[in-house]
Amino acid sequence: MIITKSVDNNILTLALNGRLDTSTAPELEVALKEIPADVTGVVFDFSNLVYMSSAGLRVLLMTRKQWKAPEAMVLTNVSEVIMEILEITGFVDILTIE
Amino acid sequence: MDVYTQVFSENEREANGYTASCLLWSAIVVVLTWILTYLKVFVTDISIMSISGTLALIFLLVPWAIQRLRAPQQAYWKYVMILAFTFGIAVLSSALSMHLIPAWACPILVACHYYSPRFTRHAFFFVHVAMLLSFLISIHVGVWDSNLFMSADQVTGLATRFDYIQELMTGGLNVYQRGLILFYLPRAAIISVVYLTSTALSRRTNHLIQRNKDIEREHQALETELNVATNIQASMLPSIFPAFPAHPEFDIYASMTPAKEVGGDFYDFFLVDDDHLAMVMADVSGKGVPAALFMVISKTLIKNATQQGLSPKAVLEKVNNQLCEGNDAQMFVTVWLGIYEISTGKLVGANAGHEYPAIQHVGGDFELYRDKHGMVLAGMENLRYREYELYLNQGDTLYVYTDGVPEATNGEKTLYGTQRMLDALNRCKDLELSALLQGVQADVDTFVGEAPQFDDLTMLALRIKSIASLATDTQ
Repeated sequence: MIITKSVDNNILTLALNGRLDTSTAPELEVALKEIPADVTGVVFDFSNLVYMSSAGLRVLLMTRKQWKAPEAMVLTNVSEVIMEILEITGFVDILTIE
Repeated sequence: MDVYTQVFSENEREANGYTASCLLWSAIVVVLTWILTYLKVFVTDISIMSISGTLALIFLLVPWAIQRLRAPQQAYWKYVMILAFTFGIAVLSSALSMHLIPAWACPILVACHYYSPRFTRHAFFFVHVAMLLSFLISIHVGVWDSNLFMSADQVTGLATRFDYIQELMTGGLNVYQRGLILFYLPRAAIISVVYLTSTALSRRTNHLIQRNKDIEREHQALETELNVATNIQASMLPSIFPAFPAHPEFDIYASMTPAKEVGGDFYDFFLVDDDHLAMVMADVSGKGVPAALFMVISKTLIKNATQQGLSPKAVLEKVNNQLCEGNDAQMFVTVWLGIYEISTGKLVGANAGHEYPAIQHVGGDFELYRDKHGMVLAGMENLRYREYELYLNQGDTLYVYTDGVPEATNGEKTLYGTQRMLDALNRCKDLELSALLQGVQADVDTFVGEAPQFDDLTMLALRIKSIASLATDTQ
């Protein structure tokens, strides 16, 4: 999986390319630990994410807890496949998806 | 018996084979040298070469042949081979003297492969004795060596050589003393350095092998414990069928095929009271011991809450909060929970992030029942869950499963998916429940082929045989 980071207006955008599973989730976890102090929100760009396993959901859950305000963590360009995973697991209830 | 003995005796057998190979290669080098001498490329006296070459080949090839044919297991066999090797080199060195300097290191290096500092030390001792003997012989028969004689003219022919040595000795020059200092000592020094390096290597490897053995034993102990854990986990799931002989109104069957590691899948079913059957299908995130522990907690909490008579929605809400407490590892569990009312056919279900159930109404096909989904359990506190009601009729079948089924993957990384699962169910829908689940299992197995599977395969099916209230209605 390739993670592309960019910061714009204190919003950190993480574009994920590939599969977010047991072997790649730790990379995302590391990327999320190195957030600059002035960042006020994080956006996940899922345009090129093809699969997400429970290990990936766990990272999303941890991030969601880290950013208390629901609007501080946003998912964008969520594909149909990933959307189905989020719906089945009920994660749509706790995440902000645009 | 020492626990390491076996490892080292195994290693000794391998090292014997390796020593035999070294003997063979040395013999091949001797033959090549012989040929080159015969072709006058090397200037050694051909008669000396013939005698020493023949002896050396006997020393090298006889133990090689015995090892190849018999592979003796006795502890002294390695000494026989190393001694033969050393003598082979000694014979050659007596004739070719200085050309053989590096060859003296070979027996020590070969001995080093037995990873026994003691054996390496013995080999070093043999080499020294043999080197001394071959030095004494080579003064009389060896090729010219400036460390022994000033001029090459004086060394042709054994008789001439003997006379020349006598002449030098009576003239006051001790040939043996001179040779010992200029010829023997430098070699002895070089071989000592080789020995010190080799013995350090054999000692270090010896320790490494012992440590490796220790780790292997610890690993085995851990594996045994993990197997026990897997067995405990498997025995927690109800697995005696028919499960409720006193209830001919329904038939229930479930199976779990664990992946290699202990996983977090589980199913459960039990009677809440005489009229209510609870069914659980769940999947803990992650693998291994953490998932197994979380599974045990989840299963216990769900059963406890359900047996208190709570509705599925209330059970999920309560257990969610209980699991969130102290969930530092950030694990979660997807749960489908259904409570079936035996007398009326009413099923109350609730789904916390789990796969859609599949339902087959009598005469129809299996279809996914897209039930309302809540968030997985243990994710966030104080979440609300929803429950739904549906009615099952006589002959209807309910099928619930974990994502091990739709996410089974074949060699081309294609997922099995729910459509293939429904097709397999429909091909087997007229069979008994055990055959129905085996049919799906067999179809998944055929689909994945040889591709390794990382997820448990867990399934549960309920079939309605009769409904008491309907029976009384029609009477």
